[in-house]
Amino acid sequence: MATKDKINYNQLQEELDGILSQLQEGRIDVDSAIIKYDRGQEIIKKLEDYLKNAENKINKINPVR
Amino acid sequence: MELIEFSVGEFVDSINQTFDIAYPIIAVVGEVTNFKISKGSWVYFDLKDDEASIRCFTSVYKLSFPVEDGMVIKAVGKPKMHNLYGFSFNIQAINPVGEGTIKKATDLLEKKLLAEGLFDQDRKRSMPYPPDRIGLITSGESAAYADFTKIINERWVGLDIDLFSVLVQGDKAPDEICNAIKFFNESSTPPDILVITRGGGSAEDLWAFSTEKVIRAVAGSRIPTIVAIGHEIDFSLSEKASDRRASTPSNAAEIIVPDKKQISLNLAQNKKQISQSLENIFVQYRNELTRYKERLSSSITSRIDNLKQSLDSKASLLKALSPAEILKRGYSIIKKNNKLVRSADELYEGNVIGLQFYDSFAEVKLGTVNIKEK
Repeated sequence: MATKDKINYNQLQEELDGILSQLQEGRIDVDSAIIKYDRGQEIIKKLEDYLKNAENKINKINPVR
Repeated sequence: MELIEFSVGEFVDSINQTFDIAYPIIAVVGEVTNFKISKGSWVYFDLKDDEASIRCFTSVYKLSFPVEDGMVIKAVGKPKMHNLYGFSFNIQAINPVGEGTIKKATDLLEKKLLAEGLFDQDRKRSMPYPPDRIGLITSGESAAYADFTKIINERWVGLDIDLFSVLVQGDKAPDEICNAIKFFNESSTPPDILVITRGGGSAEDLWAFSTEKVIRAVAGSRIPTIVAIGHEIDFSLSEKASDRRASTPSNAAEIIVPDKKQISLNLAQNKKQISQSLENIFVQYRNELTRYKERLSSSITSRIDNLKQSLDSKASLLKALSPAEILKRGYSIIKKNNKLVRSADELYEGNVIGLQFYDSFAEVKLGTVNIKEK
């Protein structure tokens, strides 16, 4: 995967966990809840695409021995 | 035949030149006896087998592990004839030979480094999970490399892996491994973690990872390390000095990254949870609205009831005070010429007056009017 397509998995996963716990706690106004919900779905989509399409890159620093 | 004649000094020089040509660098295997360290720096011992014994000399800095009498070692160095003390084998590197000596050397080194606190639990650092960039130190042609990359590719994606290929056994292995650790630590963009690994082998094959310099390089790495040497049962001291130990190269891959299949399942689960949570919030707000509506309508109803009650009580009061009700009690109204008569003084004989009773009306013509004072 090219570097420009690279996402910060940990950061997105953390944001998703935060959204989930805020929504599950329930003390949130409806408008914010809808915004959080949309963002959560967007992150899930991004992560799913990442898991499906990203590849590992192996860079050999010195001649293999 | 004429003999070559040397002075003693020349003879020693000549022997050394011959040694340099014949044995520029060699390895000698034997058992250590008469081991002693002089002035904390110089090391003297004899290397022997059943047939011979040679004197050896080196410095403490060349000892890659604590040495004791009885150990079998492979000494790498060159022979030297000293101009005063005679022959010695000058050693540049030593390696333990055979499981017994390796075990003994490992135990001694472990004891020493344990006392220094190199293996302390509070030195262990956590690692980013999963990492973004991995520095991989192993032989690029080994089964360990193939196992590690196979499992990594099965489990996770988007990783940048920098492979620094090194010899993982033999005399040069410790220096190469240390060099690779140093390379990553000095990089301007260091990886998130270092994976140092090799597959199984004999105790001698694995020895490089129990040498003091490799252990110290692992312990001194600023980048968190995971070390996986050999099979499940194999053991090396650099694993103890690392931040995390793995039993095999595959196990290292399993430890450092999650399984994408599991994460996909989690995401599917998250998708359900997030929708369910929003639905719950809607239900919660809908219930709250219903409660408000109920409270509002019940407060209006009770206000109307109050008004009605107060109206009712006023109506009965009004009713009690109405003239009709008073007439019912036996009073009557007297009118003359359609005007109310308020006093007997207004009445005269012959007047026609109207008497209003509660249920009827009578006209009466007055006879004699006698007015009596009250």
